[in-house]
Amino acid sequence: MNTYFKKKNKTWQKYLPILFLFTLMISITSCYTDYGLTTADYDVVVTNYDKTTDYDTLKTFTVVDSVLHIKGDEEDLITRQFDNLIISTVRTNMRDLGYTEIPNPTEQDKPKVVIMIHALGSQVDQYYYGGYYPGWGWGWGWGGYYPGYVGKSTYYVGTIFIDYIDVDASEKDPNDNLVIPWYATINGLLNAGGTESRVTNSINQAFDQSPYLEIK
Amino acid sequence: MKIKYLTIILLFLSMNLFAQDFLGIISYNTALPTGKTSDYISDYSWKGFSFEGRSFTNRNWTFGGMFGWNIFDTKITDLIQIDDETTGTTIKGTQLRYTNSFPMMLNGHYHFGKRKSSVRPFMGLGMGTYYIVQRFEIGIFQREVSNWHFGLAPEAGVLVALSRSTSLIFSVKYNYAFSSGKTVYGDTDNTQSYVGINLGLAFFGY
Repeated sequence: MNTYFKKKNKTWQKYLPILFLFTLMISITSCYTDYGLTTADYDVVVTNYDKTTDYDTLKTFTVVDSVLHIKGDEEDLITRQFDNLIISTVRTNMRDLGYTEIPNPTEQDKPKVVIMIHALGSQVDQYYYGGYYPGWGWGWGWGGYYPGYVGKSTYYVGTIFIDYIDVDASEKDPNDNLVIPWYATINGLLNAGGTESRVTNSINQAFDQSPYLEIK
Repeated sequence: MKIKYLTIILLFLSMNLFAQDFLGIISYNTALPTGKTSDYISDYSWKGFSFEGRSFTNRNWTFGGMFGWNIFDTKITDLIQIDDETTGTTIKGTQLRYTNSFPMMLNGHYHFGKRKSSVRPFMGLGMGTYYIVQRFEIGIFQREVSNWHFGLAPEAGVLVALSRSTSLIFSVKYNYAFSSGKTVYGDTDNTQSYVGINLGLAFFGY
């Protein structure tokens, strides 16, 4: 009896290293590492500029005194709590770049640049499907087979659009289109905390990554 | 698609054709990205494994097949700059970049020394497919592409006997996946390559 168990144990021990290696491999391997992102890690700032514009000639600006919330017939998902913060942060950045503000423009005292700010809230529904197993991180997807839908999560996303409008060029545009040589789009999670600092940092980032706007 | 199924079938066939003098290998794989793989993710990969079977056709030569998985990933916050003649776009955000590579190969190896030598260096070549998935995430946005590549993998390594039937195996393998499809950025040159540094256990079956 004892001999039998000894033999059995020996056989089992022979496979221990394989089992150990296999367990190690599975535990370290998943397709997509969770980097423990914070809410701010989901903020994205995109700026685009026209290289043919001579920004040095556009020395004065006005910021439209309200943020336009784009909502159509839908409920406005974005609070107006941060509108003043957004406007004041944009004004500060423009002044820091060397622009002179014209707070109350008239026909005689027109700014070269008008800054318009829009905000848009969106609901994003994310659907989860079977075939994802924690630890493996990969489904049995041979041949494109997917097991059925298993869940849904909803989150809200806010986008701020900052348009830098060239007033003279817009007035001369033959198609009456606004000429926007620079714009910034800032995208981030809504209702996720830290909004005030995230909005401020993202607007500052938009101007920081656009050094060509500076008046020399 | 046909090449995928053909490779899988041949892989299993090759493992079973020669029931005698079989070498089963299970390895922990790390990898140094090179070329375009490194352009996308330059970080060293510490995540990967492979299973391999080799059958001795004589004292020195083996033929067999392998399946592996290497994961490259990185988190970066560098600016992305996209320029054309008249406009420039700059993107700032936390980027998560992933490349998952699944090599499936038939291979041949030449093992130096005698069957019972305690140290047996070897050289070999793998030929088959790489299934490579590239994923890019920034903010809430993500894009993923996957492609099957034809690939070659020259390898050099050494077997160090731990007992009569078990050896430690160390190898360096250059993985080269020929261009196929497009990269996650839409680039048509989608050649992928990396140097695998592998440590594992080899089990002899007679």
